[in-house]
Amino acid sequence: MFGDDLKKSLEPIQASDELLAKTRLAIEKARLEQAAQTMRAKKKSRSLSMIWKIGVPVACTALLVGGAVLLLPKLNHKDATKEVTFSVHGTKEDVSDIDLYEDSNFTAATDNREESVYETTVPEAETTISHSKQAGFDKAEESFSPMAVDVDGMWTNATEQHFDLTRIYFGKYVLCIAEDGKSLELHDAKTDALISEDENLEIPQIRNLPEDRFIYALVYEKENGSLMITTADSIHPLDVTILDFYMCTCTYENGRLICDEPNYITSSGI
Amino acid sequence: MAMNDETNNLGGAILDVEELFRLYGDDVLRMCNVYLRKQSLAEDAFQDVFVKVMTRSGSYRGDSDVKYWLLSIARNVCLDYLKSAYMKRTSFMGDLLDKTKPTSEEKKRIKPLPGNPVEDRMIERLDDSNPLLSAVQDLPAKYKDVILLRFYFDMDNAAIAQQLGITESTVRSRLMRARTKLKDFWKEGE
Repeated sequence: MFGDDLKKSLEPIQASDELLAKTRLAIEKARLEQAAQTMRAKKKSRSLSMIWKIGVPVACTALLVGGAVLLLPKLNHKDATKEVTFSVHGTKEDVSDIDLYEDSNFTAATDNREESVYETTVPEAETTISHSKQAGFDKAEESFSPMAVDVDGMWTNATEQHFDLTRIYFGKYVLCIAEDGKSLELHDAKTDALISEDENLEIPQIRNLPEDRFIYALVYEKENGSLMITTADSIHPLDVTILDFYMCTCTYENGRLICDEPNYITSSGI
Repeated sequence: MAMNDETNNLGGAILDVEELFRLYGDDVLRMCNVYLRKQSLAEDAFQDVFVKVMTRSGSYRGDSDVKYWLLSIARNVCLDYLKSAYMKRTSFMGDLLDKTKPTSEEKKRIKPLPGNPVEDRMIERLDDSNPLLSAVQDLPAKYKDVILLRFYFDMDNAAIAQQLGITESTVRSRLMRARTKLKDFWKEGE
């Protein structure tokens, strides 16, 4: 039989123990290499999974933070623009907030708007200051004298220079209110020395001045020579509640001061 | 010896290399020897076959006999060896040796020096003491397939067709042609 002959011819070929040992060694080596490859593949897949687990949230967070960083300045700019727009249409009470605008870091366009606000609102609120800046102090004093009372009870104007209503100059003399507020005195204009009354100098005096009244102020109109004497119920300006007005004529010519007796005109409450 | 019925019970079992050595070791080595002609190459292929079997044991589905699975791996490994550049070079040298093959009278006069491995190999090559094996080794691979499976592993035509992925008629025609080539070793009446 052909098959039997073939088997007999192949029968001498047998796997020796040496060949089997070599084969076992090769198998173990291949298994080790396979295990190492599997470990490398697992490490790679683990690192990839770590990238997906950690990298993606970190990337998303970075995107959110980056977007916020980019968007917040734009939102702030929009708010600032709204504020400026409100100021443009606001009343003059908004002028008190000008310092806020000057300290802000706005863009050039915003600064232009800010300047327009300043230019349109400031003249309405502080007309006198603008006028004094343009015309100078002397002209302002002539045209406008806002009055105020300082801590010493003296009248002052808005430029903080004393404007004395207690003195009226007649040449080398000055008519002023006595310290007790009950009479008028004449002093030398240079030395401020008290000058007694003589035939050439007639000092106006209010007769029958009540005890609770004090001479408060003097106003003289040179054109018609009329002198208005104001009395008050207190010597201190801040405590005045009632004012009485007296009127007389005073003329000063050739070193002579001639005044008639003051007449009571009216009174008013404060 | 050819695989016995004991091997059929291994289907689906966990593969043990020592058990595979015991059951199929010699058969795999003989199959490799038939395909590759040289004992040294056959031993290298033997190692590769079992390395593949053990490292790819996960690919064995267990739905077929482990014998057929092992034989298909051994056949593929041997065909890969034959396709390799090394085999093409050695085949060229083998052809030269075949052309210079001495006659039977010349063989009797050759007395090689002992201990020379090169000469040992040449003697191994020149040793035609087993003419049937040499004749089968000289067959083309497609005829070796059917001859080995049919007459060594005692498989029927249907099993051979399934193992090789060809039709039964192809198996029959290949067997006929192989038989024609091996007609000198065919006894009358077979």
